[in-house]
Amino acid sequence: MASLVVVGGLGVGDALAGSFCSLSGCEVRPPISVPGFGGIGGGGGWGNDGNSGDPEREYQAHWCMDFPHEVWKYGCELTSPPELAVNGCGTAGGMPVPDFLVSPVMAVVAAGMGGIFREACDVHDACYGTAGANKNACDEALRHDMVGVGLRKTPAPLRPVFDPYIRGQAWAYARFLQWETVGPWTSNPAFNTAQDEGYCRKWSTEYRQICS
Amino acid sequence: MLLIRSGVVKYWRLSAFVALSTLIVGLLLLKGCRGSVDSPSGTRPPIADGPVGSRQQRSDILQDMDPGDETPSVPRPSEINVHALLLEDPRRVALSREELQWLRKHYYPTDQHLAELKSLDIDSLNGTKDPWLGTLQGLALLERGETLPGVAVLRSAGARGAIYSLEQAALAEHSLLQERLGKTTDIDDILRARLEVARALGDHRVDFLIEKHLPNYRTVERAYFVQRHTTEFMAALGREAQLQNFKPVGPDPRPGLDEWRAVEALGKSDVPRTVEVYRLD
Repeated sequence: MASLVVVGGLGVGDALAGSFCSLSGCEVRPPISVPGFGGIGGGGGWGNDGNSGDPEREYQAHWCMDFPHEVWKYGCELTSPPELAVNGCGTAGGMPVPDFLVSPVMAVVAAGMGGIFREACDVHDACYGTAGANKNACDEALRHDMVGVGLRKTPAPLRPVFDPYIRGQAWAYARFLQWETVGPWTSNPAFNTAQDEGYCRKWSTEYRQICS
Repeated sequence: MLLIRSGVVKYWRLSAFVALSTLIVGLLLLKGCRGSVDSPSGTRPPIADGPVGSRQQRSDILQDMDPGDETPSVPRPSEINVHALLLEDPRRVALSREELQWLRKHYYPTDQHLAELKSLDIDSLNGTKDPWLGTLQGLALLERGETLPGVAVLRSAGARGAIYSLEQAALAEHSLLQERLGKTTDIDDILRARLEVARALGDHRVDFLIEKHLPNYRTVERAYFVQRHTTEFMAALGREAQLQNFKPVGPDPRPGLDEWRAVEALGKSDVPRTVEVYRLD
């Protein structure tokens, strides 16, 4: 069984579309990538087993046998990939993160407006969990979304009071996620884990589409 | 002197007792009022206290088009070809008076309301707790391109029983996520789960949206993810109710499931048939 080329920057579907076989064996062009895990080994092509039929189907059959083992080494189970958690602001680093407005002034009224930041946090969850997402872009979008949603869900008479706190909380969330001092222990691992899981789900979907 | 002092003390004690009693009675009355205002969907559209979302404001905005009106006009059915019916959005169409009442109860907008969204003063509705006004504000925000705020407002209305709002919020969120993150199965899972929430709350017509927006969705393969998301989204509605101190909405099945299935079966045949439908007006 030949090994697969797994370096580069394209997904499984791209690799299949660009591969070809000749009498001397098959090559994968462009190479398959495993971006979330930083690549899975090298090598390239595989030999002709003497039972040549449709080269593309042959390649596909080999790939379908090899790929689960390759990604399994990195904690990805293609048949049961991790789920995407879309659960509001949830927790980060073990700390509770409220999705309601935290205001020192009229605190009960602020909390009583409900989880005004939940939708923004849901989108942020989806952003972190999408394979290939940009962390900084996700965090900046969170800040922007929190302000937009927060102001819309604040009654007009209360807006002068809560406006600075909405902007402040949005800034604090985004800033915390982008804070280089604590990032290596808080948001960076969370993002990396979410990305690994996102890639695993992506591969799982592609694997099922190609191999089922 | 001692007597006078004793009298003063007694007077203050009496005053304090009266004040405390008044406060307790007032709080009890307030709680009673809140309980009736935030009654579960279906009895009467809950209307929030205060200037935003008040009955007066709702009246000003909607004039005589309020679906929560105590005396809605007697609906008259109209006939439509089955194939034409299945081509249009069936969510705001009813096959019986009971189903039409259900649509009103869950804040489904009329064509006229949708046509007049552009003229709605959405800024004055910020923070409204009225599900009907929230529905209109959310839809208007979507029209104006404020997608995520629109989703948030619609979902707030949905937490108070506006099922149409939940469905529209799901579609808008799906578009937003696709625009930002590309088309992925994860995003489709989220939409499917959001629509399953609407189904769980009673609207069997979400099938139309699923067929339209997720035509190639692998339902069996993705069932686990959809179930997990649906559970979380249902819980989120409950948490919203808890934070805002109103009774969470529960399932309220839309009437006419069998009738709709019969219509769908008719639609698969080539024979032209007509059915009577009721529309929101």
